[in-house]
Amino acid sequence: MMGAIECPNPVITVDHLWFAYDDVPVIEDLSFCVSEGIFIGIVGPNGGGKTTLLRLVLGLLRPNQGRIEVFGQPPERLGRRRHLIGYVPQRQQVDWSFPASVREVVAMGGYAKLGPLRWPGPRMTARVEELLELMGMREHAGAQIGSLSVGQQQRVFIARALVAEPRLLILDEPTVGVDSAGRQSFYELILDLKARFGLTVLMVSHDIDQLAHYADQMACLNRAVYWHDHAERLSDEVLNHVYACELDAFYTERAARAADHAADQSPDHPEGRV
Amino acid sequence: MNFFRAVAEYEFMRQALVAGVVVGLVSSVLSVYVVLKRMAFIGAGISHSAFGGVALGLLIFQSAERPDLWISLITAGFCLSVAFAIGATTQRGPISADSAIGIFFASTMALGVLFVGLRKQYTADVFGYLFGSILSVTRDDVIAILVLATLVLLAIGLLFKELLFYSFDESMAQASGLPVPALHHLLLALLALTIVVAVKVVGIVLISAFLVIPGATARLLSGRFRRMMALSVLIGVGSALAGLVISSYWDIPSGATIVLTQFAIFGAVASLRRKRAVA
Repeated sequence: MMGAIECPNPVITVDHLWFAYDDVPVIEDLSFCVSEGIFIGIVGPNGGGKTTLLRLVLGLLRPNQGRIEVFGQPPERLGRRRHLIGYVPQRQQVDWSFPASVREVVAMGGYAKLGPLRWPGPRMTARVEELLELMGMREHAGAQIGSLSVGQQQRVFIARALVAEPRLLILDEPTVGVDSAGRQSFYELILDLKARFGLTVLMVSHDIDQLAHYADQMACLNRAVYWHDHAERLSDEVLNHVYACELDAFYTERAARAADHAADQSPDHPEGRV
Repeated sequence: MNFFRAVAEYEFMRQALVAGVVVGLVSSVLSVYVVLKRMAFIGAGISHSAFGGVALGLLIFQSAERPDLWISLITAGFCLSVAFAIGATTQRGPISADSAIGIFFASTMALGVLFVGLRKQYTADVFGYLFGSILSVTRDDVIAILVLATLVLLAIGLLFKELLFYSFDESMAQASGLPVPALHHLLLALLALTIVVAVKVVGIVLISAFLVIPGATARLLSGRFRRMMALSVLIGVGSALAGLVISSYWDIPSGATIVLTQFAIFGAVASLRRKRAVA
């Protein structure tokens, strides 16, 4: 079944979305909906349209056909509510030799919200310091951004994405180059931030094992995405299927547990939510 | 003649000093962005396109009242048009930035040669614009330099944080809501205006050095943006002053002397860094 485009408290709504680069289709008739407070992981083959989908959600690309809404509006029309989206881009998009300190990089995240001709005041400075502390980066605040380890750089970029107090955090391949132990603590950090700041999280990654372990829900994107009707347990067989995009979206164990719990607490069934 | 005595005695020397220092200051500030955004070839492209504007200005306004001011204005219009044309060509189509620069670079130079040919007059003044002639800087030139330099520095000062974010991470800056295409065009416009400011002082052919060497040298010396900018200004203004003194003392071309002074500083810093890295 095509994904339901109705869901409670939608943060992202995508309705029959089509996108092509120079007549080469990248996303075909994609429909889905992400509810507030969900951690959704998106996997899929290279060229399947994952990063393009993120760029569409961010409003950096415009759909050829169809509708995309973030917080109830097309992302390019969010205006002053733009800060509600925090974004952590892929590592290779950044010049790591740039002469900026960790503190300067984190502060950049608040510049657009601040607006032109205004300088960071005590409130923003305090927010930057709070996030540096939270990310365990306070002692590195004066270091040049390129002198940090890959894992530390990602923490700095997450801090930067959170400075403007977003409600949706989008991460594009954030664990590339991070070792296994580092990845585990990274995902735990994301869960902690999600709970602390009430975030909805959308993460694209090839790190399918760990992503599936921590995310509430997984989706596979290979031009199109299809939602599965029933919550089910994650198995190796399912993983193999998913990466080939034969089965394109499913609830993970975490979500299944949450769904069981929700079913005990409420008459609402989570089926169809993303 | 002693440089400082000459400055005290002659107005043209004072004008040269002001022009040299202001050009050194504004181009070294901009050179930080040119180096970090890898815009050196765009700078070279726009500066060579200034030749078309200068030649058109000489063709139309040579006999007008205050020709220097008119030539500066027409060169500014020419450089801005080329800067935006390069920006538009690279953003809207499959033409790469270096191809677009190559196209406008050669075409506007050709246009300049055509305008010079149409004058059918003595063309020694064109040489001054090509290689710089700081001692021929007039009062109107100084006014144009001061106005344009103030505009450029004001724009950079007011949009300092936005330009910093754009320089570091274009994709994230755009995603956070900063108007990245507008900032890109603004930087091109500032580059074009700086080139107009520097044309008479250093010459069309040598301007790119002013737009690259101070920033590149400062980059070797600092891992912080603000410190890099301060060092770039120190190198830009210092080399302008040193170049003027040296050229006056030995009676050699000032534009080339300033560029060679900048190059000497770059060479010394690069060697010291290499020595320190080996040690």
